[in-house]
Amino acid sequence: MGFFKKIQKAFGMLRQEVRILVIGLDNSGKTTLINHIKPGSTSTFEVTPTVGYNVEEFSKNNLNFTVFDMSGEGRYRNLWEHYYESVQAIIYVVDSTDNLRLCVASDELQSLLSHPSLSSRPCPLLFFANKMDVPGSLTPVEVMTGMQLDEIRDRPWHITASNALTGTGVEEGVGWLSEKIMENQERINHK
Amino acid sequence: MATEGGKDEGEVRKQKFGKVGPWLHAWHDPVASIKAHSSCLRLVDLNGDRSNILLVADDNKKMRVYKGTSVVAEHQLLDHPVSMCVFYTSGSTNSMPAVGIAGGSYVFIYRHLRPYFKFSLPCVDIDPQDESIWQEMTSEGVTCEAGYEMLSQARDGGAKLSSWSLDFLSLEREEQRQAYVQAKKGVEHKQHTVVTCMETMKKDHDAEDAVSSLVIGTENNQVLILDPSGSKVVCQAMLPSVPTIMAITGLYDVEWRIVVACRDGKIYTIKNGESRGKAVVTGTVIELETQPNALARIEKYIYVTTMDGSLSCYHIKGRKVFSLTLPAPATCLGVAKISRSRTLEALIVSLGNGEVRLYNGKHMIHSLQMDDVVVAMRWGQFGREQNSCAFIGRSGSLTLKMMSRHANLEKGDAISGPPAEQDIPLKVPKKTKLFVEQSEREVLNATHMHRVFQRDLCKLRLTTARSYVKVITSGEAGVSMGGGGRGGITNVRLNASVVGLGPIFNLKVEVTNGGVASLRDLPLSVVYNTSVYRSDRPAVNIPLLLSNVTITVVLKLKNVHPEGAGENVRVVLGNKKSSVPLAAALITMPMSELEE
Repeated sequence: MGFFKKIQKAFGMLRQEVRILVIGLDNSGKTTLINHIKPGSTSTFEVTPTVGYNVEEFSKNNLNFTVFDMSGEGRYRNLWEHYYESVQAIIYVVDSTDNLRLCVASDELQSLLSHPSLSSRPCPLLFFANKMDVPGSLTPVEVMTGMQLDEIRDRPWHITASNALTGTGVEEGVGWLSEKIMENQERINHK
Repeated sequence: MATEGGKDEGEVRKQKFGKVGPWLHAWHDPVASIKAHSSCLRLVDLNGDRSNILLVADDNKKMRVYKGTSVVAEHQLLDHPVSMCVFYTSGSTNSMPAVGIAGGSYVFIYRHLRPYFKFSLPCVDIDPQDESIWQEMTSEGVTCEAGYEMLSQARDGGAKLSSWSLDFLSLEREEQRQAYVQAKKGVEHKQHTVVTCMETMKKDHDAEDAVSSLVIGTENNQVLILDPSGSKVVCQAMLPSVPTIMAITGLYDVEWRIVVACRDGKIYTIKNGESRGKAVVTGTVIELETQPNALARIEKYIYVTTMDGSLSCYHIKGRKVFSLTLPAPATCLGVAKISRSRTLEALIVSLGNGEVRLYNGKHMIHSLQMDDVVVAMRWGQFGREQNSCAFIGRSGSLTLKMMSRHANLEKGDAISGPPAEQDIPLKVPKKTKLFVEQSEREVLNATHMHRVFQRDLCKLRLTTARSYVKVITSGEAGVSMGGGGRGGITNVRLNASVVGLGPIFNLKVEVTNGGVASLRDLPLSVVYNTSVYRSDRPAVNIPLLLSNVTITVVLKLKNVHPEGAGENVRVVLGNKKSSVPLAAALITMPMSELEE
C-alpha cells in the first residue's frame, strides 16, 4: 500500500469496497430490507418479487457497499452459488413467520456452508429473523435452533430480529457486519 | 414428560428439521385426527395470494382448511365426502376457485368456502317392467302380493331393479309391504345413482388456474363430464363396469384421455370422439391380475398398484412395461412433479409397512420410513413451497414433507431388479480342440458309447456282488451269511470295542443273531500275538444264541509288551460243525499305558 493511500485511509478518505450477497427464501423480505440499509432511499411498501437479481451500490459506515439482492424463488436459487466466490459477507434473511419452510431455509444454509468457495473462507454471516412484528413469529433464538446455527463454528455469525417495513433491527445487524468486515480487512492487511 | 423434554436436544431437533434423503421434514401433527383418502386432500391457492392452503374433506363430514400449521376454518359437510376437487369456473385472472365435494348422488359446490350450488346426478332410466309393476301397484291395479311375485320373477329373470323394488323385496311382513306401497303413492319413481370418483379436466389451456370442469364416475358405470360452471353434463361415456379411480390428461377443447380403473379389475381408456361432446371408450383394456388400489399417470405410462402388492407400469396403448413386487401392498400413489431446469415427474408410493418410496421409472430413488402407515397423500405447493407433500397417517396424523432443491432424482442409489452381477459374463474357458473332437465323437457314437457304459456298469455290479458274497461266506467280515453247518442261512453280527487304557483292556464283544433260527454251542475266541498280549481266558463258549438277542461277552486282555505297543487282535466266532467261522472282527488295539 502506498504512502498516500495509507494517509487517505487514516482520514477515512479512501473507502473500502465491500461486496455483500443478500439471500433467503422467496417472500422473506430481502428487497425491502435492502431498501432500509440504503441510506436516503424512501422505502416503498409495494415490492414485487425479484426476478433474477438486483445490484445496489451505496456507501455507509465508511464502506462502499455493493449489494447483490438475489431472488429467493426456487428456480433462481441456483444463481446464489455463482456469487459466493466474490463476496466478503453474506446476509441471510429468514421469514420468521414461516415456520413450515424453516427446514428449507436450513437446507439452503447447509448447502451454502458446504460450498467449496465458502468453506475455506471465514466470511461473516448475518441472519435477519425478519417480520418480527407479525404476531406468532418465531424469536431469533427459535430460528437459531431451527436452522442449527449453533453448529456454525468456523465463521463469525450474528442473528438479529428485524422488521424490514420499519427498519427495526436493520441498523444493528449492518453495524455488526461492518465491524466484522473491517476486522477481516485489517487482518489481511497485517499479514 | 420433563425427562423427555430435557433428553437429547440434538436428537429432537434432528427429528424436527432432519433431512432424510431428498425429504425435508417440515411439520408433523400426530393428533390432527384426519380421516380421509387421497382424493379428499387438495392443495390449493384459495385466496389468490400465491400461498397455498391444504383442504381436507374429512370422512366424519367436516371440511378443514389448513393454512400453515393451523386450522383456519372448519365447515360441516352434508354428506360423507367421496372426493373433493378444486376447479376454476372463469378464466379471468385472480379468480377464486370453486370447491366441489362429491357425496351420495350430489356434488356440493362451494365458493369462498360457502355452499353455493348443488349438482344432482341425472336420474337413471328404470327398467320398463319394473316401472309398469310399480305403476299398477300404486294405482291399485295389482295387489301388493301379486306385485311382490312379479317383482321377484323379474329379479330372477335378471332384470336390473330400482332401489324401490329392492327395498320392497327385502320387506318380510305383509303389512310392511303394504305400508311401503302406500308411502310411494303419488311419489315420482326416480332412480338415483351415486358418485364413485371425481377428478377435474382443464378446458382449453394447461395452467394452475386454468378453467376446468368436473369429471364424475358414477355407480351405474357412467363417466360424466360437466361444464366448467358445474351445472350440466356436456359429455358422457358408458363403461362395462363401475369406475373407481380416474387419471385425466389433456384438455377438453383439444384432446383428452381418461384412464379409468374399474371394479372388474380392468383399466379402460376413454377419449374424445370425432365431434365435440362425444366420448369413445377405446378398445385398449388392461386386465389386471388383482384389484387395483391406486392409479397414476406419468406422460405416456400408466402406473397401477394392485392388492397383491405389485407396482405395474403399462404403456397407454396397453402394453405392459414392467412390474415390480413391493415388500408390502401399496396404500396410495402420487406423482411428484418437480420443475427445475427440466420438469421431472417421480412416482411416490406409500406402502403398508409405513415406507414411502420414490420411483423414477422403475428405479427406486429413495425409501423413507414413516412413523405411521400413510393412507392419503397429496403432492403440490403448500404455503409458498412448490415441492411439498402432505401425508395422512392411519392414526389420523398429518405430516408435511418438502423436497430439497438439491435432491438428485435422476437415478436411484438403491438397486432394484436383477443384480448388476447378472450382466457380467462368466469366465468360461475357450473350447479346446480336444473338447470339440470329444463332443463330436459323442454326437456320432452316442448309442455305442451308452451301450459300452451300460455293459461296464453291469460288470462292475456283478464283480461287487461276487466279492461281497465271498466275504460273507468266508466269515471274514462282521456279518456272516451261511456257513451254518445245518444248511440253514445264519446271519450273525459281531461288534467289538475296546474299553480301558491299559495294560489291562476289556474287549467288549456284542454278538447278535439276525437269523430266524437260534444257534447253539458257539465258541468265541480271541486271537492275538502272544508276545504282546496275554489272556487268562482267550475263548468263551456261547451255549445258546437266540434270534435277535444281543449277547455281550467281555474278554480280558493284558498288554505285556515292554513298551506298551498295540497290535491288531482278531475276534472269531466259530462253529463246531464247520471250519469256516461264522463271523470275525479285526480290532485295532490302542497303545497301552505302562504298568508301574
